[in-house]
Amino acid sequence: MPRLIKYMIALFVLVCIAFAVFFLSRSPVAVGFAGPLTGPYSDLGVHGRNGVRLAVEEINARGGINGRRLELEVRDDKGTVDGAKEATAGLIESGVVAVIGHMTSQQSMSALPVATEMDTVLLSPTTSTPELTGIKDNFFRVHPGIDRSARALALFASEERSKNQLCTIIDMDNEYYTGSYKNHFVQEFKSRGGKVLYKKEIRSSSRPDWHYIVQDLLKCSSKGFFMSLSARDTASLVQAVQAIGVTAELFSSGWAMTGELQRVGGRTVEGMVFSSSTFQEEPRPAFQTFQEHYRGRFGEKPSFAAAFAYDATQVLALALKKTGGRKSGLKKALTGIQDYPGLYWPISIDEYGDVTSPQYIIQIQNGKFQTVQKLESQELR
Amino acid sequence: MKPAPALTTIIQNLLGRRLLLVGLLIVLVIAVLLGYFRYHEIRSEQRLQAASIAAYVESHIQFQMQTMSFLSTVMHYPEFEAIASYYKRHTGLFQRFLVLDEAGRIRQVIPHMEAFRDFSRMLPELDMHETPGRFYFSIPYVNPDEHSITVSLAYTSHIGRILAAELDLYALQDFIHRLTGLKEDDLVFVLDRYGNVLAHPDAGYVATQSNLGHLDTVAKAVNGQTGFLGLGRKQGGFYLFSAETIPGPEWKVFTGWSVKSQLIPVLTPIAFAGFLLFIFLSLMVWNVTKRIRQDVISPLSSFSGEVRNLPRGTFDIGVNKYVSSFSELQVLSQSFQDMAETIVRREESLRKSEQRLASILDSLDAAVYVTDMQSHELLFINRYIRENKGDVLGRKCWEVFQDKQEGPCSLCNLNELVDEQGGSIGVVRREYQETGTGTYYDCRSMAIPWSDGRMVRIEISTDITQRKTMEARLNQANKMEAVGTLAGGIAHDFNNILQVITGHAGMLLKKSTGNDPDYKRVLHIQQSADRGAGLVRQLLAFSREMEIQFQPVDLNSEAVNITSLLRQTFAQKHDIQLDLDDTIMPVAADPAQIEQVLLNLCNNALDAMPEGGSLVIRTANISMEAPLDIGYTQVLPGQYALLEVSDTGTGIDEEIRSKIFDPFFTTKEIGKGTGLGLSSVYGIVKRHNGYIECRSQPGKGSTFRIYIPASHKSHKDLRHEEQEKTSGGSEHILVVDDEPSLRELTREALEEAGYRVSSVDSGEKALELFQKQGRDIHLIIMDINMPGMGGLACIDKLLQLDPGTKILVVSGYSPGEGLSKYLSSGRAEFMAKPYRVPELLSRIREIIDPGFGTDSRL
Repeated sequence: MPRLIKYMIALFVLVCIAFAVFFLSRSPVAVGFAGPLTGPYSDLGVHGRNGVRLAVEEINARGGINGRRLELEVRDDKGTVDGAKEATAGLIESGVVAVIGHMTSQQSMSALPVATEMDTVLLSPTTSTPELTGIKDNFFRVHPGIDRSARALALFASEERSKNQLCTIIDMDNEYYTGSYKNHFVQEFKSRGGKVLYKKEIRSSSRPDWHYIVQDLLKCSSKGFFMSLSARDTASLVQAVQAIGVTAELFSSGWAMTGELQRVGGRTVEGMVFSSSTFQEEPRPAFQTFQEHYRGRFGEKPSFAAAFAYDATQVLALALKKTGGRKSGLKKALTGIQDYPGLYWPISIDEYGDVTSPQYIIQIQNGKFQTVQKLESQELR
Repeated sequence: MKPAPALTTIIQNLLGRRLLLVGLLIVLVIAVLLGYFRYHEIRSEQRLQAASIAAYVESHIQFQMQTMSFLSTVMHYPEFEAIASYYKRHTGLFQRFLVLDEAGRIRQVIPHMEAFRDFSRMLPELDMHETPGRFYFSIPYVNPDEHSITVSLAYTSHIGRILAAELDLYALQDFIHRLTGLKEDDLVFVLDRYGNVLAHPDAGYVATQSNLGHLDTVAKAVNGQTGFLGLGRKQGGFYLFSAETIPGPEWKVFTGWSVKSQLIPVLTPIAFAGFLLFIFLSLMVWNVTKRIRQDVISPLSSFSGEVRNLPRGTFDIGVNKYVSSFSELQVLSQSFQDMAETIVRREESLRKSEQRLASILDSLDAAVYVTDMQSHELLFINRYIRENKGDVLGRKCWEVFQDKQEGPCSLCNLNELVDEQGGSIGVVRREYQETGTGTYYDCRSMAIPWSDGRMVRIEISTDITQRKTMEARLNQANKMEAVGTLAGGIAHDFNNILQVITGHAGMLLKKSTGNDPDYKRVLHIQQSADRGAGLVRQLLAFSREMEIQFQPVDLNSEAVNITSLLRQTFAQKHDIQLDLDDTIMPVAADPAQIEQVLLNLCNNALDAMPEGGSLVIRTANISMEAPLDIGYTQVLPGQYALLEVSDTGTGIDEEIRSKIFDPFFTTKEIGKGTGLGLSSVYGIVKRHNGYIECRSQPGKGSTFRIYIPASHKSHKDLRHEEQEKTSGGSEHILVVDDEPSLRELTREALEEAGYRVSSVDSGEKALELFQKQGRDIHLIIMDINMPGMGGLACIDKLLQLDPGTKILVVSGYSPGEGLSKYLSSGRAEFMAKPYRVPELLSRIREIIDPGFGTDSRL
């Protein structure tokens, strides 16, 4: 009799182990999203999160990561440096295998050390600072650096629009992006004989009084403005500019190129020109499908942030499939991504975790983002 | 045998486990049932809650919409701003009113909003807003001015203007919160039709423009399912959700009750009930156990304790002890009581049986023992052996019973006891003599099965020493008897012959004188005849055919007489002494026979001393207290007169000593001795109720001791000399004898004495004569041994005819039984043949003259 009991116990234990293994293997893969869900850049964060959410839902519907459910943990980095660190740390501590975020260069730069320390991949959908280009680190992105973008815009402004004088205004809260963008822009602009009449720097977090700011910018009222601000701030500024009756050509970094800009800016932002790697008009079928799904799911059209976030998630999922849902080997898996059919263009991540892309000059025409010019990567020196 | 657990333990385990299991089961079932019912309750309650909240919100929104609808009508009035402000303040749900033209340009903002001109892009791209009288609800967005999340409600008025109102979502949240008195863990949240959060207890959800569409339950609701949605996970906890739609904006109101907080009110009473049940069951188990211990186990224990005493014999299973116990135990204890009593009885009867057996065995006047057939160890001895040999149980039988033996008896007959199969053959009998004591035993042995299955030898030995002695004596007696009968037969005839010779010789001697030359010859004839008669008498004495005429006899005078006689004959060579006791008691004896005895013994003594020696005759009184063993017999206790004759002769050795009293046994040469001497002595002594003992040692001499029972008559009385009474008479005497010569002899003798004599030769003739001359006849002398009628019958008839008839019976034999009757009653008298004439005459006178002479009857 004791023998029989021994066998039964052994069998039970085996079954338990089998179940444990089974369920462990079935345990969900947790990924994290960190972005500004509140604060001035919330449009990026909210869209980004929704894009990731949509991607996660679609991935799970297709069977997840090798049968394991993909789960999303969301943290608000509040658009601040500290917030970014906290959010990333919090996510990694809660057990995510990778962090999709942040949405702005400033936050990504702040969070990267944390991610590096905790040996976790930071995959940003929209961070485009060139500061992180060409470094073998934990940072990966599906958005190309903005240097080319900035230069393309400067080129357009001076060549196509024959501008040789501009005022610049940037949000120093996202200096990594805005500063970098502006520098590249100005450099190109100046190399083409342009001149910056006035440099304005604001901090979005300090709730700028746009009315007051506009007074400073009056000197460029007939010239043109180069803005590198969040969509909302851009819209607010333009609204204020128009409110005092100033009309000027507006050039903006791609940062502001969201529906929020349209919403907040209304008709005031008509004619604004952007340089972007995003591809709004030629709807790839995948993008259209994405757009429809997003709209149906969330009630509004996706911004580029959503699309990039969506792509980032898909790319991450691909990499996770290779690693079996595990953290280790993820970097290698990500760098192995070649020609992933992204919503905008095929995504290939190089050994440094960066992507390259063509540039587009976009203008808001009749309330829609329209491509004005397309520059292939090699065209920009 | 593995020790079984105590009954208490079994019951406790049984009750405990079973009841507990049952209890658990009950609790479980109740829990499940309660849970189930609660679940259903929750379903309906929650639905109701969601529905009621939805209804409230809806009514509230409806009110707002109505308000807006109203406001739209006054949009173009200048007072609109004031009215709108007023409404804004008092409803509290709107943050801002915006009046827009058809194109979406801001005409008015209440309250004022600087730096905003175009609101067009705030409006959705649908055509709804172009339709007058229609409301449109936006998805939540960030209020550009306030940086808060808001939802706008846009109404297209009939005049083409659009009135947009931005909802204060926090106010909405507050409103909902006030509506419901929610528990901390419960949720009520409102989502738009996409799942975007409109109101949530956690304000962060609204602030971050969260979308909860990824939650399964929310997805269900978004897809249109309302009512109870089931279990869902949110923020790590499990909730039960219900949702209801607010139709206007197509918002969804969700109520989520945390499972935990729902379960607790269900589980708590169950836990409590379970606890109570557990307590109750424990109490019950404890109580039952206690009762069982009291009523069953305690009585059982003490009962079994008592039962343990059973083998010891000390028990008391009185039924009264277990009064409060249960009937089965009572029955059991009663049965035990009966059993115990039966055991006691059986033990008792067994013991009695053993006792009886032991008594029987011990009562036997024989040795009973059992030995092992291999080792000869004594397995059982009875009291006879115990008393004689001690407690010899366990020792070897030959050690115990045989003297100085070193191994089993050579004649040990074990092999005779069992057959080839080892079964008992039967009783084997033999006689043997114990070497130590010389005792003879009759041994009967047999093989019997012993209690442990082996065959053992049982032997019953009876002491037959006495019997053997008796046998020897009987043999002896028979021998003597046989010889005696033989001798008696011859003697009788001899007597008759001798009687004739003696008689005639006597008569001749009477007639003649000493001068007659034939006198000597006739004397010789008489002497020889006398001697012959003496011999016959001896023979008859031996065969005890002679009648003893008991008289008081003084042994001393007899001894003296003999001594003087002997001295005359043997004085020269031998020294004859007398050692007489003056106080010697008289004995009832026949003097003649005593003389004979002495004569024989002295003759033998003197013969044993051919060269001379000493002969001593001794008398003494002997008082015998205890039986005296004199070899072939024992002298019984009593008063005896001892007559002892001892010599210093050659002695008699043992072998011969045992035969000396045998008739015709003699050590003398043929012709020298008749061998009748001692045998006649023996006979005489026996007839005198005495004993004779011979002690002798070859070379030392012999002593013959005769013990004769003493008579109590004074010796003086005995000192008398028997006088021969010579007397005559003249009476008429009838002689009856079939022997002619004897008859004639007697007639002559009597006639000479002067009597008138009639003689007949038969009983019949006697009777005939008596009948004729009966009165004349004074005496009848009759020979008892006659043919025809026989003496006895004649006597009988004679006595019948005349009871006073005097009859003298003569016979060569001792009087038989029939005659003894007449003799003892005095109806007749007896005289033994041969007799002398004077004897006869004397006797006649005695009979005819009563009182004549002394009474010789003793």
